[in-house]
Amino acid sequence: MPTTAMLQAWLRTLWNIAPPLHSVPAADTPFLSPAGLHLPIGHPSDDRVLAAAAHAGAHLVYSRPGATMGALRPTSRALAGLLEDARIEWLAGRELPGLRRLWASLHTASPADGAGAEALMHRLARALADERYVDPHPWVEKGRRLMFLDNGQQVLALRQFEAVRQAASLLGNDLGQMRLPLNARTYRPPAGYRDDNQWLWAADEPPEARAPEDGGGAGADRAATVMAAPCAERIRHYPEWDRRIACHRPDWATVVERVAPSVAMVPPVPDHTDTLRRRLGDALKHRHGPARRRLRHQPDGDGLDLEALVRSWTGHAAGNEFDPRVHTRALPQRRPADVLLMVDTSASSADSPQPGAPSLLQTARDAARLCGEALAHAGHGCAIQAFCSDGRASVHVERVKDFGDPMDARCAARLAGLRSRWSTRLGAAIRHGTRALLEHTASRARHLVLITDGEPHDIDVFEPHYLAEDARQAVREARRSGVRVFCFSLQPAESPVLRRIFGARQHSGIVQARQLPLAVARLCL
Amino acid sequence: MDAWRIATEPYYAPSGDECTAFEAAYAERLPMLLKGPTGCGKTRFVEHMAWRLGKPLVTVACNEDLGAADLVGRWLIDGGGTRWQDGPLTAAARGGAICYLDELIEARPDTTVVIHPLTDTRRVLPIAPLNELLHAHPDFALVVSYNPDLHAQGLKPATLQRFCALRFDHPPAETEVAVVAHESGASPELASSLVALGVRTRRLRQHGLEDGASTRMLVRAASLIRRGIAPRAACRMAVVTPLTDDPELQQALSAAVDATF
Repeated sequence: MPTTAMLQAWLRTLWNIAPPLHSVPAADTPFLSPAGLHLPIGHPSDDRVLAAAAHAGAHLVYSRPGATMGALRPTSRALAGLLEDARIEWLAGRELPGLRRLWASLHTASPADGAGAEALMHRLARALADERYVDPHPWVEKGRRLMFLDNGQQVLALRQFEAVRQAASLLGNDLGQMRLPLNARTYRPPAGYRDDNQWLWAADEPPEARAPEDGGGAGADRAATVMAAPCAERIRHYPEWDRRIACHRPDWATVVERVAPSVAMVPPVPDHTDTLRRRLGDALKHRHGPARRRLRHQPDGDGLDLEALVRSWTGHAAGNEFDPRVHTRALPQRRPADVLLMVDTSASSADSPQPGAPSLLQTARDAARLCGEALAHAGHGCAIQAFCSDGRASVHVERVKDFGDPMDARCAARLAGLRSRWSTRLGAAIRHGTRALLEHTASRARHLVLITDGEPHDIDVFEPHYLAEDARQAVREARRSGVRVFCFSLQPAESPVLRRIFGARQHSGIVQARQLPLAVARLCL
Repeated sequence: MDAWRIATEPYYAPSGDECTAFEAAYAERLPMLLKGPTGCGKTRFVEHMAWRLGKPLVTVACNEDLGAADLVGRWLIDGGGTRWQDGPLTAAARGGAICYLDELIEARPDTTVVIHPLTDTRRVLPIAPLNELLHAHPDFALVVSYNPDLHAQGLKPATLQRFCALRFDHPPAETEVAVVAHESGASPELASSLVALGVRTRRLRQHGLEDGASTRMLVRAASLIRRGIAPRAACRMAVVTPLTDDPELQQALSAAVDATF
């Protein structure tokens, strides 16, 4: 079954084009729009989907949109579209003969369909697509002769669109003289895979705005509908460190944890991320250097284990059998780790570092998604949560992805559903994340990564250093309990507060997407 | 060292003046670094040049378990005690061969440091376990290759700065058609269809594929076709299936093969 990703890759191999693809219901006619190609991707026939994608792609490569209609009547206009379809298929088939075979196999019109205008046009379309198809009708034969200079259909006569338009006009007149009217409103393009060709004429008569059926594209964010999330909540209380009295206030902050709501439409990930993905993968792969184990007493290996050798020789001298296990061998040590990514969704994350750039929250979403994928790919466990706070009584944590969940469309939809609001109570989030990690695993290495745009603050705290000191204390406690804490900072410059909370080497800027691999490499998984 | 000599001329179609450049670098005994994607002809180029210069060629394919001891040599146990066994790098430096370290970056970091003293004016190889300072044979030269596309971090600057470098890429289409036709005996038409397919797969580099089809893959596809396998089946076997495990990319590449033939 062809999927959007498969079709995208296929079009890229065929013509090096990467139009956005949208899905239309299987029974609908495909169409092209400035937003991309609208194809019946769910159609049960694979060939039909492939043929539609290749045909629409060939339009992008060989057709020029915005032709003026001039004096063409609706019948001639449909014919011009039909001849243009044949022209681009011929041009594409010259380079890729397999496509011609694919298209020809879907044409089924024959003399048995009758000699109405639409049936004749479908028969002409078949004749032009398949040189072995024989049609007795003189009008079809005339169309064939107008299109090609030879019987084998090897030499194209209609090289430019202007010639296509003239031929269409001639054929349209013939249909008129045969008293065969075409109902342009009910006319459907032949063979099911061809688009409606509205795109060709866009300059004259803009087709009524047709919204993409499955979203994506520019308006996705506006049109996004937040689906009701199951509202199973879990409430936890955590202490908070008060720096003035140098001790904890017990059960001071209340964390409300729930599953993050998801949006129906997920905006596509930007194109450049493939390189980034690979670099992230590399960052995770190549950072296991120093953690090696040296195995002693091995039957073969890089070096000699002197102690074992001496023992073997003395044993041998004493009349025992020589023990050949006298080598040492280095083994790379790669312990799978569990990583919890916590995304700060406070109100300030709606800002952009500069006008026109994506919001900090969007950067954080992309980072979380890419890291999640890279970690899963490298064999590490990964969970994603988001946090924001509205005073100490309601610190909100939304679970985007739990350990063991696949990094799939559902997670992407939940990430896309995160909204910027309220404040940053970092300490409570760190304590909650630490607890989640400790409850999840006992034996694996545990990492807590905070993706945050700024310094802690909350509406019920007026003392400037109180929350930062609490966060620092929370980090210290987490590290003491065996959880490594790291911060991906969305601030453009190094922040002295984040540095104080996390330590100089435990935070890394990721405002630019390309900084992400370095930040991940610093995690030292 | 004679076992390492190349008897017959390995076929190589130059894309530019890389042969003269290499000869000049060898005359000065400058260490060479060959950069370029997988299967674009780096190894064949080195074989060709070794044959042309009449020098033995010691090739080491580096992998992530390859350590310094694997290159330099190690002590082995035999009946009466221990015996030193030269590694390939030591053997080449002693015997005056060209030593080619393929995909050096794959090797463990200690490996790259071992070659440092061989790549500057000292031209020595300290063999610590043997307590020997080996002065390289006058004919010895070092060539390494790596594929920068696959490795974000690259080689260390201290290593890179010791080398002169040649950049390789997939040859221009006409050269590649000639190579495929020559290596497999395929007709020019078939060879150009295959090369067009190769170019198409390379468009997916950066878009899911680590690398597109190499010239080597295309040659193999052509050879299979000459053995009577249908072109589409041969391309699936030699190109599509080895290139990726991703089912969607497999499907896309398969459909591209169908469209080509």
